[in-house]
Amino acid sequence: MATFSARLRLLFPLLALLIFSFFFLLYNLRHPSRLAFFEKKVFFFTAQCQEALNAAFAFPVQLWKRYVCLLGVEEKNRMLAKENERLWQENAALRESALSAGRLREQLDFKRDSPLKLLAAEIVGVDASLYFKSMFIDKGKKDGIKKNMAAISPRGVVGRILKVTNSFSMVILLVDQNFALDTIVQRTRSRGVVEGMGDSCCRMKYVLSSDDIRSGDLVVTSGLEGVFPKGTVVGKVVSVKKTSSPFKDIVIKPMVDFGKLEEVFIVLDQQGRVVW
Amino acid sequence: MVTLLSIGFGFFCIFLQTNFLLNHLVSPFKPDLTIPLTIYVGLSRQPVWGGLYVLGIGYVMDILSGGILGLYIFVRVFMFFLVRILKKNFFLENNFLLSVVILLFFLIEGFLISLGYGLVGEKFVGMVTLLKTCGVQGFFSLFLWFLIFPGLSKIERIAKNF
Repeated sequence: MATFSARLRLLFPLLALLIFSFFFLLYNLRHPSRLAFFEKKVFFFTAQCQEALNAAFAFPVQLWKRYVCLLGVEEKNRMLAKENERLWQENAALRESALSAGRLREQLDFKRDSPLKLLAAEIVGVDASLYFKSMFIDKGKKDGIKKNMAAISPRGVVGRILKVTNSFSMVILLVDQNFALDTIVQRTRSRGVVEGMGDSCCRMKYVLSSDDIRSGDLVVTSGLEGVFPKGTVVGKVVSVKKTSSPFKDIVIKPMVDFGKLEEVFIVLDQQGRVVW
Repeated sequence: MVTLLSIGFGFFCIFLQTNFLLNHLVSPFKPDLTIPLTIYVGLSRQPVWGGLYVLGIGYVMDILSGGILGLYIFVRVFMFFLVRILKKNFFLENNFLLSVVILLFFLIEGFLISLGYGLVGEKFVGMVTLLKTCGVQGFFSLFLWFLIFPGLSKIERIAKNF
């Protein structure tokens, strides 16, 4: 009897913790709240440590990459890759404009030419979990960032702002299973919703079986939700399957390589200029 | 001293797995050291202190991940509870058995999160992605853990004698 009560005494605090954590989870499922004061402080502290660690690690990594390993080749390659990215984006934008021009000339006049107000941000950390895809950036509320703002790169859509603190923010990536975006296939103008699959690809949903979609087709944002600028590249179709449902099963490979991404641009306003 | 070291080590593990540069260098591998850490704490610490410790770890994980707040708190506390039960019934000091348990806990974490999301009707990764993530990242994390762990034990021994 004494052993039993001793065991119970040991077990009770643990059970209490387990029950508390379960109800805390249930409460947050029902009331998904914004970051509270303490959570903001923890996020800020971690992100600042990450920034400091990155700065400390950056020098030896850069030294190895740029001087010891490849001498001048890496720099040249980076310049060429940058130029290639710029030309690629320009080409995609021109194709998008050309395709739209015939049908949407009137709307395009004031939408296509409007420059975006962008804020450049550096990635300082990645998601702590294995199952969620997000990144921390070194810009926050004080820089004008708000929840749900769009994050893009020269290659296309990166994600959306999920959590904001004063100096840092969290961007949920396009490939996260909780990310969804209204898109169109550039060649056929078929509309659909792109959702992350939790790995390196996305799925395009609600595209009718009768629509002509092929591997290699470019998928761009429709701009209907007002967060992402219209015509921003999302990815390329890598597989199309017919299903028993009225919709096709389309898998998309994002244009952005999230493993190599170092900076992102936050769309502060869909009219304006680039802020460095 | 040992308490402070443990807290510091918990933060170190989280810094390591959220570090952009580390993930950048070892991509596509992404470690999760908090699972082996939870098991280690479950095996070597007092139940109440250990429970609160893993609750803290889960809380920081929740803040630094894109999931629902409270998800990792529950998963980590549940794991800790499970380790305590396993500890009572099995001998887990053997490295091979410990490795199996760590890998098993990667699976348990995946299924628990998947179950939680399924129960509330939210979307979560498919079964193939889940198993792939558990397997690949579990092995990588295990490898990293066995690289770091001897250092931690040594520092802890020194701290205890200090």
